[in-house]
Amino acid sequence: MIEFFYGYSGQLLLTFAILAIAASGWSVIFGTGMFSMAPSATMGIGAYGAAVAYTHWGIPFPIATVIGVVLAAVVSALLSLFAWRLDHLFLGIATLGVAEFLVALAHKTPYVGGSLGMPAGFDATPPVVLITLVIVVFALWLLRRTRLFSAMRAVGDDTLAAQSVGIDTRKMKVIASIVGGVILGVSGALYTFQLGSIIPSNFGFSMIVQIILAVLIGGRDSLFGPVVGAAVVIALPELARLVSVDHSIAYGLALMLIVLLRPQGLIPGGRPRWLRAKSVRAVQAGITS
Amino acid sequence: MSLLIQQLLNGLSTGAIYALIGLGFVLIFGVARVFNGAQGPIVIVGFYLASVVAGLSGGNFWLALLAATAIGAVFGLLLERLAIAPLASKGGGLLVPFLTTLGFGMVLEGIVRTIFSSSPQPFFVEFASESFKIGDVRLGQAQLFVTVFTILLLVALDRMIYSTSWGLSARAVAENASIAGGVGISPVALRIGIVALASALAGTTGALYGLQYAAATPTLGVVLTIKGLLVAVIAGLTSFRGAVLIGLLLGVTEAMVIAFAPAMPADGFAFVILVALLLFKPAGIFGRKLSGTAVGADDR
Repeated sequence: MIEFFYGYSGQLLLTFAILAIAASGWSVIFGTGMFSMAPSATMGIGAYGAAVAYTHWGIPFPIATVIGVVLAAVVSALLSLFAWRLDHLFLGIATLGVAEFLVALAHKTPYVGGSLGMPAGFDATPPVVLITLVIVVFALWLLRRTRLFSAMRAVGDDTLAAQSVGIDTRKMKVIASIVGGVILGVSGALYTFQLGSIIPSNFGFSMIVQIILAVLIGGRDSLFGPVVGAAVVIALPELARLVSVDHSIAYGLALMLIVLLRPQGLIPGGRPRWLRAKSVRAVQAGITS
Repeated sequence: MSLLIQQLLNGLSTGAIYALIGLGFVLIFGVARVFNGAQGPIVIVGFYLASVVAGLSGGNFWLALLAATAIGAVFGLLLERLAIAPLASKGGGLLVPFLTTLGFGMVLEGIVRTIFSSSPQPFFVEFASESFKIGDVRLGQAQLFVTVFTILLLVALDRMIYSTSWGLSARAVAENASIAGGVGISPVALRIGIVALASALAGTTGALYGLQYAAATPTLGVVLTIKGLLVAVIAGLTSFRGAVLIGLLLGVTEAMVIAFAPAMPADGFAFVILVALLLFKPAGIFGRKLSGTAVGADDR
């Protein structure tokens, strides 16, 4: 059983799980209308925080992970302050600037190993990674049932309307960024302890593209959208290779097609039909008929 | 001192490349309100075709430059039809066209890698290694050529935008597309023309880049897109001459950091400036507040 995870398909499954966690985290941030292009940086802060705690300070894996996650949440909260002055693509460009700066900084910082990166342990065993994905999805399922989440979604749908019914939109964006930052930090720490080492370019532009693509393909409004999207993002290069097509062509076409033809993603908003309670369906039937 | 002058020239020639890419952004943003995520990859397509033509023609740089420019224009037309035109009627803000053009660029990168592999492609290696010596100062032949050629090209473009009736129409559409439409200018024809022009410029840039660095790889496109985006946003998105100035400044700053503060991340400075500027002066240094765009705060 455990040998499977050290084979190629097992590694793919773990890469998928980590990307699915990261994409789920970013979808919470994007859900409040913030197009942050720094999910890779938040993830990287989690990864580097955990690696520094583990390797330099000798702190064991679970506590090192917590340190990385807390750092990631703080950075994510700080980034959300940009949203007070910028929106849409301009927020994206500013956060992309921060992300690229952090990668450039990591390349030049000897304490974190510069371009050669940092070693860490192999403590995130396959069961740990997969169980974490389940926990994250379950936690988001719980979150989606709260009034807080409804308020966050209202901000994402129409900031002005949300404001006019008394929702503190700035606060909602900070809260969403902290929640998303925690989840991105978890994915970063898992990345570190699954691979056993990290380098700055792990968290560069291609990671940003993968996370954003996963959310856009799967669906930004649904619980399972980012998970399904992550599966597609991991599977696409593999399928493309079978027919000898370059992975960039596959990603580029997927991005164009999903944005032009199905902007709501493969799994549109709301809970999937098969998860809805019978009573809800009955009420809807009553309304529409 | 001689190092300072050398790095100034290196910075200017790198900055010339940044200026041309930033300019492409400003042109397309002006008439189409689109951040072109495919600008860098079109530069790379231009570079690769130039290298092939140079090989076939026995090292004729001018023919290579012409071919790079032409293929840039062709891909510009494709870009406009496939990634910009389908969205023009929907009015979906800035994010959606950025994503479709980014996707188009990724496809181009993939095509280039499929044909040429991901290892660096050489280009006029001897030309780039030659240099003139004036006293203690070593001036690279390629750097000098790229700087001078780009300045001439920029002057020609400046004349085209500010002294021809086509340039006047383009500026009118950039100012207000619906009023320009009302006085008989076709915004769609202009958009097609401008995207093709900016992409042709990107193709030219590819050949110039090759001359200066003697090689390029397919993945470089993304880096150049980000640099151009940076230049255009810092300059303020509406200013042709501002983009040129910021591009040159960025190149010189990077060259100075590399020479005199090698421990600092050279790329980092520009990003810090960008972020600070966006937060405190969202319209950029040379920019004006635009009608109908989403510059600024979303609430309060």
